[in-house]
Amino acid sequence: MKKYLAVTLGIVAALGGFVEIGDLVFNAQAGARFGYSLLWALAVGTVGIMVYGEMSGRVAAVAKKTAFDLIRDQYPRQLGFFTLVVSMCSNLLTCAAEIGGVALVLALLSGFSYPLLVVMAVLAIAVILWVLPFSGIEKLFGYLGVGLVVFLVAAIKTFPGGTTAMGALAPHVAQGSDWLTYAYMAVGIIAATMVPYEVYFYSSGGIEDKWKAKDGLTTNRMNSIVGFGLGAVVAASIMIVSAHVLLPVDVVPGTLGQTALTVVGPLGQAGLIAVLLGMLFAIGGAAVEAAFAGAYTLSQYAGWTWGKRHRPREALAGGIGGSGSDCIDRN
Amino acid sequence: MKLLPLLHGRSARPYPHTGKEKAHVVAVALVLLVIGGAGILAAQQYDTSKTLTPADVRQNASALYSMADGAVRTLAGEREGRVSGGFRRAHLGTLARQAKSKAEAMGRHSFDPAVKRQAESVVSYGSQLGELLTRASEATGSQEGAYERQVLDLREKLGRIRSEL
Repeated sequence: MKKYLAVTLGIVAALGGFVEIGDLVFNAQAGARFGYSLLWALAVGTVGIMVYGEMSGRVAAVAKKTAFDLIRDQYPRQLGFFTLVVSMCSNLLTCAAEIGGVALVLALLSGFSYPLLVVMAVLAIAVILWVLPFSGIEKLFGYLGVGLVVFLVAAIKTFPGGTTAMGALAPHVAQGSDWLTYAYMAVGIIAATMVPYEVYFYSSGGIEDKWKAKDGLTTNRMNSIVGFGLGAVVAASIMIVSAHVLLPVDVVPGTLGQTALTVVGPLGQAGLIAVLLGMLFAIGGAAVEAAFAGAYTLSQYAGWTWGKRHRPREALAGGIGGSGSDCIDRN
Repeated sequence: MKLLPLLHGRSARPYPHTGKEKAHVVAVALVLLVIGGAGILAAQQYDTSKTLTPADVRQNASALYSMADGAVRTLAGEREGRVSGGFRRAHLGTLARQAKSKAEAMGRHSFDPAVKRQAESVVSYGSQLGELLTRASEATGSQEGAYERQVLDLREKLGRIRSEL
């Protein structure tokens, strides 16, 4: 029973942790511009993240190695270093975007000044990273991020009725739009669904959670397939609501507020508050995961001590300022 | 060439490495980030010299129309009790900054003579929208109806230009 509960909670956390600022932006814009015709891109990205996530989780459970352990071990040196630099840049940019997103949602919830909230968001995330245990972080953001399920309810409530022609789901460009924008949105959706930090965080999380080859493989498979799959349903709902509410009036959302406002018609103020809270924890979770992913990749590549189970002082001693014996990887 | 011992991948095992080597990696990563950032800024600077085509003007009008629509939905939502005052302040403030920035950026370009009149109107409506939304974001409850009507008016004007192009 305990095992099933753990798997279920893992799925909920994976569902809540799937959507981040890139998904919110690209899916809402894609729905408003192209209706359902870019759902295939979301499906491609979801299969990609499932396959890559499951694979890296399996390696973590069986071989006890993370993605960057393998990159360091198996890649030629120049390619390995290039991958590290590109990953660090990607993590940094993603983390900055997520922090900006957290501040934007906090501003929408409170009406306070955005620059002030950026500073507060950075401080809050730093404190959470430092103080909370790994499992606590995973659950806090994963569970509360499930508030985004409001988009699914709104998608159902705004469904125009009748049957949807299969042609609407097929890749096509509506009249008045161009293929270049369509292709850009497709790439954006696939990239937002397969953000690299998710895999680095996921495989490192397998080590943090001490997945064993026996039970860990089931947990990994359920999290990566069912959790990411349900997360993709929420992401698809964002696109669908946008297609129902904004496409008919030819409006493309340029702010998070506009994306959130799409649920006000069908669900009122309660829906708006729920969706904003869901956005806050989903984007906040992504900021935390991206920050962790940056630290994990650098530590794993360089062979520094890493992991939330190590005390910060211990990790620092084994890291940049450490002596030879302190730096031995304990994983 | 063995530039940095830490970068050797397979040949660098076993751990550990010295603090100096680790600092090198961080320094190289930071330098690459700075170069990348400078490249992006330079590319943006270059982009402002472009002459806007009818499609570009339509795209700008459409973006401003969408911003006006977001503002209308926010003001209407507050009037109907579905959107809080805090949401209105923050959202209209964001939209105001975007509208001003869009109008200013568009105003720095030259326009295709075929759409010069429409383009100048879009710049003007964008500036007006920015100013209006700034005031609406700071307004007290009693003035919202007036702002909503003015934003609706600008949305219609931008919609008409968008249809013309």
